[in-house]
Amino acid sequence: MTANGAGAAWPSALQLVAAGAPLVAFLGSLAIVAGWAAGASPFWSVPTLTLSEAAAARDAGEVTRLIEREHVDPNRAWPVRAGLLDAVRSATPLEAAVRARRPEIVGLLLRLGAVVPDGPPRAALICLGVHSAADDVVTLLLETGDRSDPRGGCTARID
Amino acid sequence: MSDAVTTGAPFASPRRWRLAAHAYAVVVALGIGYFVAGSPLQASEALRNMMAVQRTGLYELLVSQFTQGGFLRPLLLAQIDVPFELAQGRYFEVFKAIHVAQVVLAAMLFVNLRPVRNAVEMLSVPFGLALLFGSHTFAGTVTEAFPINTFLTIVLCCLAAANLAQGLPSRWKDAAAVTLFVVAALTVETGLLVWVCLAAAWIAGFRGVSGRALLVTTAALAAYMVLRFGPLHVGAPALVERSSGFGFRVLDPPELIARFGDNPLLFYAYNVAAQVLTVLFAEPKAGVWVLARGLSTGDWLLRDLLGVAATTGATVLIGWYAASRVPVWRRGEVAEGDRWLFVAAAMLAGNAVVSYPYTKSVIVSPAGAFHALAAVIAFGTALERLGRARLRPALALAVVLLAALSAAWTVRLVGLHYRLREKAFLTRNDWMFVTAGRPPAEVDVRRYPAAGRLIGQLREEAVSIRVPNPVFDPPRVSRVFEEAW
Repeated sequence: MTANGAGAAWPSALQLVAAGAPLVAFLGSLAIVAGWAAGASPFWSVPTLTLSEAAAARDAGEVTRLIEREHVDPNRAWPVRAGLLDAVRSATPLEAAVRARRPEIVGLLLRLGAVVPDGPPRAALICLGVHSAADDVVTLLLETGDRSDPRGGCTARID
Repeated sequence: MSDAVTTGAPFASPRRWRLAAHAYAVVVALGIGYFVAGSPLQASEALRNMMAVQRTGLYELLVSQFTQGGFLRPLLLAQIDVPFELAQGRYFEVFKAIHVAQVVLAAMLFVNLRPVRNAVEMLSVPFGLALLFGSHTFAGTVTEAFPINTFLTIVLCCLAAANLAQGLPSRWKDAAAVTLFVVAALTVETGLLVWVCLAAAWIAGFRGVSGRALLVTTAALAAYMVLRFGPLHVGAPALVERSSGFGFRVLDPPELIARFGDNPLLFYAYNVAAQVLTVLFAEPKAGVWVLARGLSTGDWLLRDLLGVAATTGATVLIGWYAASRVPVWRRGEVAEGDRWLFVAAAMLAGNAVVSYPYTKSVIVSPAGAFHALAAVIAFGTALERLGRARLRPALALAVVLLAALSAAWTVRLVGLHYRLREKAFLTRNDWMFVTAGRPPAEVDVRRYPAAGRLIGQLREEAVSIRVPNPVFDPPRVSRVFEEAW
């Protein structure tokens, strides 16, 4: 009996093997459409991030949402999940952005109210940028506060 | 694929199989639409276009677009203006609804081009949709969150023209074909491909659109050319308009001028050849030999190899189909599938020529859609022969190759969903850096306070949308799923 000949109704096993792969993806499409219709968010899981995690993960949208909508303090340390910034488990959003070498996130944080502290903490942050090889970030930080350049004193690695 | 009608089981009439094919297409398209709807509207070109239509009336907009140099696209902004006005402030919802509807329509128009009368013919539908949506040439039609993605509009126009061309002739089809051409041609330059599609279909023997309507369309094409290069002085885009891929990298306009300013013909010839090759082999991408570069440096990615292998496999399958039909053609017999093959070849040539000024994968999305159509015809024929043949080593090898091809295209299709999710993340981030008065929001909000409110609203919507962060995806995923070029 031929597959397409008179009287043939269903594909053979060989035909199914040859053409079956997209049918697997179709199950995913079905799940998406059913979930969408039911008001769920399939394949769209958004992990809850702290502000520092969002900064480390270059998530500018989440940084903005947390500060503008959730009124999260951008100037205190927040927990950071393991692996995101190596062994660091807590950091201020600015520290997280510096460690992640994200100048655009540093700029965004400064625009949204984060403050580079004066004195030794500022020097420490800039030295962190130096040790992280984040030249763009360091340039940005040097324009804050008293605009002094503490890089000559950045000797030991700060972790 | 055989054109003989097969009734199949009594509980599954040909009509039901056809309905099933369309339902399948709608589900797959909505699966993509879900990710399209999850992304904010684009923050650069989309914002510029929306600000342009906001401060300019429709008539003024049309007139101004007829007189700009390099491009003749008067209906591009007009198509954004109408829904923008009707949206009454609900821009995101309206433009996303249009985008999702376009994806669904593309799937239905594509499926409608092939007969689906039984289970075996139905089996080639998933493969065809995987090719249509999984191709790197299609990706830009959905990943770029313009208010209205013009590239997708042109894919729709070409598929609609093909649908008009098949079947019985009628006056409404003639009127629709002429209208379709005029709208497409005045939307973006690749809209001229509607004429290529109609003309190639007529030459191939399709008579759904009459010769008289084709003559009118040809006259409209001639008028377009005369106006463009005559009284309107629009001309063609210059080298300074865009960056473009050449060899192993992208060249900026100053580099293009330095290299090809004296003799742009070489550059244009490269672009045409590159666009043909990218549809047939997925390399180069946007003029850049991505896989070749990776192989030469030892830094190649699985996603690039997969794209080239899948696309080349589909092209080889088309070649096998054409070769197998040569004896039949020599007898003077031509089936519907053969006619579509001719149209696909014409679309490929036409699309490559139209995109001579610069290379970008999405520009050849219409040719990509017809390449998918040609491949699904070949795939259907191969499936049909599998059902007739006895099991032997050559057949087993054919099954393995077809299964591998199906699997590769399935990965590409799934990859599109992944890249849409990633693009949503990037687009949302872009909005956080938009400031009125600075690019891309170059507008004086004191003079145009409504533009300031529009920027503010779209930014607020982008902040509100929660989007998954790809940083938390397994790192290997990005090496498998292709990027949009």
